[in-house]
Amino acid sequence: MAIHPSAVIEPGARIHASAEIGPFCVVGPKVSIGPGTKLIQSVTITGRTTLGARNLVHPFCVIGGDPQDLKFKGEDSTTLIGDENVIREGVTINKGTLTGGGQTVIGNRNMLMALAHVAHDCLIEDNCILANACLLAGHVRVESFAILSGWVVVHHFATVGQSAFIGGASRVNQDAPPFMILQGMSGEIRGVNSIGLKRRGLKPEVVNCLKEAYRIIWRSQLPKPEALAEVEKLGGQHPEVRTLIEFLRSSDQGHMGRRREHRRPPPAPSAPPPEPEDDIE
Amino acid sequence: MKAHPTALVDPGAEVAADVELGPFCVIGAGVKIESGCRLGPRVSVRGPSAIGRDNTLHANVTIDDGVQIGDANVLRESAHVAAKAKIGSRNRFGAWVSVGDAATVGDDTHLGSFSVVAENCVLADGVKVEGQTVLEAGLKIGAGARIRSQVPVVGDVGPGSLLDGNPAEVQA
Repeated sequence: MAIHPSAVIEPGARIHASAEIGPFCVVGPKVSIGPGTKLIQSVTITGRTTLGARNLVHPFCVIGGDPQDLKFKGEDSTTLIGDENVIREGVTINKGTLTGGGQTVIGNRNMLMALAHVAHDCLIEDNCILANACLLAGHVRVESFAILSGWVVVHHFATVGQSAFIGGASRVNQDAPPFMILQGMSGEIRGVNSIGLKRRGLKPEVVNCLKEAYRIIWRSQLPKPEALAEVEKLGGQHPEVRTLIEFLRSSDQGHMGRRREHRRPPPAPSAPPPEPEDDIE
Repeated sequence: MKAHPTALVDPGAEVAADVELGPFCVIGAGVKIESGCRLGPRVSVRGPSAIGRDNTLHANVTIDDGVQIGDANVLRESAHVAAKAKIGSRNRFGAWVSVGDAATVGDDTHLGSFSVVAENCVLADGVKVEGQTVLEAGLKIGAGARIRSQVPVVGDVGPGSLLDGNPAEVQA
């Protein structure tokens, strides 16, 4: 175990023998760090946080910090990070909240570029890229192989579908459909992420079918339910097309175009009305 | 003062007895920190600056000289307050928020992560700014105004208004 003498490791932290902790790192008492994971320098890991194997964490990251959520009351929630993630300089990852499921999860082989922010109760699956200064609000879900370009903001409870590509400085206020390219202040859908799908090894006929689905759903004037029925008839045999259809249907059923919006906890009961004052005429 | 052994506190700093200082904090001469404050790892405060009661400064926060901070504020990771800025009470700043030189922030404001308040701006009480929003230098933002994410604000904003879009437009 290579721990630099200037690092502060609080009693109770579990660090694998092959992990490396660089100068001026601070590792809290409930932290577990897996084999081959390396904290380069000045990294803070706090809260009940688990890092898996072979992660690389660059300077000034803060992982497992308290949620930036007014409902948070100091509960002992968790942050789980899988294997082989690259977390670049100054990334902040907050732990979960009790009302939101209690854990923030990052899967495997993701790249979080400098200054990216992952808020409480987010789930990032595998092989995702968050470019510089990406901002995920609370309860966001990012499915596998999604790419978020620089300065993208994702709204609370929104879902970014698998293999979606979000262009730079876009705002994702509603669910971002899988396999599509989104760009702009309102997250307009601009086409199929054909390069991402090719890299993932999807067959050309599936990509072409998704392109036809895009044309029918967003470029024809058909109402959404009829367009989805037509896409189902056209390419229902491909699992990717079915994934797209199911995603869009469940997003439409959700509130404000966000399928996971129903997970928002009900508002706290408001304070009782003030007692009427006696001396008012 | 409950300071971690690696924290550096200048003898000319005045830090209350129950203030918690995390590892590698650097507190300069002429800094005054009142009781109930908690400073995370690597927080740096340059003097002379005054920090009121019950503030929480998370990891890597940097406070320049001549700054005045009220009570019960929360500054998240790597937030930066530049020289001679005045911050009121009960404000919440997200990660990487930057408040410029001589800016004034009232009470009960929320600044989302990465938002930038440039120098000499004046934010009244209860202003809510979402993430990645930029307020240009010298602007006045009225009480209770709300500014949505990624909006570049180049003009004064009236009290209670909602600003959105690029270029910014008043929505309500």
